[in-house]
Order: sequence, then C-alpha cells, then structure tokens
Amino acid sequence: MAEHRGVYIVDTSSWLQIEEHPDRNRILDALGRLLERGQIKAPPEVFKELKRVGVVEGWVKLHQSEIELNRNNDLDYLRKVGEVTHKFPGMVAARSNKEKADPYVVALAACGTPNPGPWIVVADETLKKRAGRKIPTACKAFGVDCFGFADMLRQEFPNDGW
Amino acid sequence: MAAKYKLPFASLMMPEPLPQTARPKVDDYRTFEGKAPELSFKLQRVLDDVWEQIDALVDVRDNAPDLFRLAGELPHVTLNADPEKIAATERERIGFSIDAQLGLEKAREAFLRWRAVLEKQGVFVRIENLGNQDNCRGFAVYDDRQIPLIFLNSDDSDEDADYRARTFSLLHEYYHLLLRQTALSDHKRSNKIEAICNQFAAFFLMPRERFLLECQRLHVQQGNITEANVKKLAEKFHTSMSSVAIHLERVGIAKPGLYETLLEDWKKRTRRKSTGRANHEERLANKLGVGFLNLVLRAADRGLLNKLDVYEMTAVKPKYLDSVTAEVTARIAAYGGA
Repeated sequence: MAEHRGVYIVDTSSWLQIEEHPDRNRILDALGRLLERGQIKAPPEVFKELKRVGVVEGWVKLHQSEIELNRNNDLDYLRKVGEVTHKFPGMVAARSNKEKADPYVVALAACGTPNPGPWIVVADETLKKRAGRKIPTACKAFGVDCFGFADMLRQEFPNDGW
Repeated sequence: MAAKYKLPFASLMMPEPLPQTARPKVDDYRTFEGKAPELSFKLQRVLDDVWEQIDALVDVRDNAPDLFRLAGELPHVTLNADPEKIAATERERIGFSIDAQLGLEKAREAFLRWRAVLEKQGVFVRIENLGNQDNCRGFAVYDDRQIPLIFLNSDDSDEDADYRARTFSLLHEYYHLLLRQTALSDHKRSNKIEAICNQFAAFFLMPRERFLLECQRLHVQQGNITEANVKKLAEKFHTSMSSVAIHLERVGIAKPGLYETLLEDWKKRTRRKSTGRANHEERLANKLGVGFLNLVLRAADRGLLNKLDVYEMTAVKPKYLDSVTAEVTARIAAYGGA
C-alpha cells in the first residue's frame, strides 16, 4: 500500500516565522526533505506577499518553482477562493485594495485531491484572538486541517526532536 | 477589473456580493443644495480602508491592551451641552494653555502639536486627499469598537493656510468624537450638528476672553474688519480664516454676513497648487499619524505583528522601517504625544 503523505500549503505567516527563526538552517534542511517528496506547496499569492516584504531571497527563491502551485486557471479552485472570501471577508479584507494570500491558501488545500494524502494548511499567524478573521477558523469551515510549521515538522519527523 | 475597482481579485470570485449590512455605518452631516451628497467611490473606498484599519487595531488591542489608551476616558458630551463651556473644560483637562498656543510660531508646528495632543488622548488621526473639500472635509469614527479615529481630507500642501485649516478641522472632528458620533463632515453651518462642532472648534482655539483681547490689541472692531485683519487673527490663533470670520460674528464684533461676503471673494480666487516637499517618511507620518505608526512599531517589536502585518497596516516596507521609526521618534520628541 502506498504511503499516505500530507501535502502542506505553507502560508506567508509561516515563511516569515521560519525566516526569523534562530534554528532556520535546520528547519530549511527539513523542509528540503519534504520538498523532495513534493509535500511543500504554496500559491503564487504567497510569493507576492513575501516579495512585498522583501523575503523572497535565498532558500525560498531558489526553490520557488518547485513550491509554487498555480491553479489560477482552474475554475473550481477560483470558485472556492470566492467562497472563502465571501464567508470570511474580515480575513480576506474583501473590500480593501489588498490582495491577501489567505483565501488562496485555504482554497488550494480545500481543492486538493485526497491522493496521495490530506492537504494541510500551515500557518503561524501573529494575533491569536478574533478567530473569525484567522486562517485556522476558515480552514475548519472548509474541512481542512491547519498546523503551525513546528507541528508539521513534529508530524513528519517525529524522531528529530522538533 | 480588480485593479480598476481597487478590490482584491478574490473578491471578484465571490458567489454574490457581500451584504450591505457589512458596510461601515456613518451618519452623514454633509449638505449639498439641501440634501446629503452621494458617497463618492473614493470616499467609500477610504471608509472601507479605515474600517479595516480599525479592525486591525482591535486585533492588536485584544492582544496588547496596554499599548492603548482607553477610549472610554475621552469625555462624553451630549448635544444639549454648551460647546463654549465644553471647549473651556476640555482645554483645561488637556492642559495646553492659550498662551502656549499663541506662542507657537508656525502653523505647521501648531497643527502637529494639536495632533499630538489628541493622539495622546488615544485618538488616531489620518490625513489623505479625497479631492474637493467642499464635498467632505473629513470624518470621525467612534463606534462600538472604541477606537476613536479622525480622518481629514487634505493634500500634502505645506502652506501655512492649509495647516491652519487642518487644525480647525481636527478640532471640529474631535467634537464629533466627544459626541460619540461616527460622522461625515463638511463643516457647513446649515447642518445643526456641524454648526455645533464648528462652535466647539472655534471656542477651543479662540477662547472668547482671549479672542476679544487680541481683537482689541489688533484694533479689530466693527467698521474696520478687513480681510487683512481676519488673516492676522487666523495667524495669531493658528486657525482658518473662515473660522475667524464666523467667530467674529459669533462674539458680536462683526455683523452677520461677514463670512459670506469674504467667502464670495475667496471662491473667485484660484487655489494654489500643493507645494508639498515631504520625503517618504514624512509623508507616511503625515498620513497615518505618529500615534498609529508608533503603536504598530511597538506591536511589531513585541512580536505581535510580523513584517507582512506591518506592511499591510502601514504600507511601510521593511527596508524603510528604521527611517520611519526615526521620523516617529523625532516627532514625539518635538511635539509630544503617542
């Protein structure tokens, strides 16, 4: 039986946490292993956000083409982006002029095929209160699991002391 | 299409529009030919943006209430109150004397001082150019989220007269906050609430006794009121010429009609183009206010906000964070507040 491995859709907030983490190199080494197995993905909007704050450098830039999953020509996916936006306008800032990656991250995971494994969102948002405006709440509403990046590493590498 | 309407592309993918109930609720005290003018697209966009900004501030406050002054500490006044009395007690409470005000040399300095004074009360002050000021001078937000905010419609002109007008608008909107209102303003006297807020701002900036004294010193009396006199008083008190003209009528030095007469003349003149020469950091501090920027920077220092949060709330790219922090620090040292 084929091994069921999760596909992780990594949100901007987690990339930023990793970027500034004191154990960054060790984390990137672990991410490299997941990347080789095709388990790390992100929509183009995440890279746009990272670029806005000057973080698309180094490791992320080197691996952008492998990580980026662009489904912006897929109507079902775009419909899901719209559903997430409509249900969580506060999270998306639906009436602002900001294009947030959040609805794309949630929709990408919600539209993921169950084979080879579940599609999981990885987010490490800063402010924990006002749950209605946060990715974990939106994930729950669309039946998607949501982890922090440390949880993802613990799940994938249980013996590595994360 | 998303770019044209300044909306996220994701919003265009929604199965149906968001309900109107999700839009900002604002009392509209503006008048145009006896009716309230329509909300322009630009104004609606700014309202949405400001609502989003206040929501973000609520997020920060939920996690770090100590970074905020309690909005509830702002005095709450009713429409029946006498604006002149409130102006006097509020001046006393805030503790910025009329001598100190008149001692300020520049209109810019006076405006930044008053802005800092209000920011110290927990009021956020934002300035942006919405175009025609006759249509909307600004707005005040005080709703159940309890994050008081004043928005002034103004360009980045560095002219003294523009700073004086901003100062008057600032105090006008402040009275809307004391009335616990969320309201759009045009400062026209034809609306009762607008007239009350004008009165407050005028008596706040030009307390009756001192105003009469300065009129005496400048030999401003019935029969010799000229535009030059009005300008001198405006420069003295760091407020707009319009507010001085109306105040002269109100305190009985000028006959009713002075303001309308002067206004007819002013309308004929072409407004000078903005000569704003501020750099990026100054423009940001002018637009968003030291109170807001300082709060966001402190929240980021504590790890409550990441780089993206800071960028989304302020449009400050990480490479400018140090220079913006320096500008904020310099303004706090110069004008107080925050």
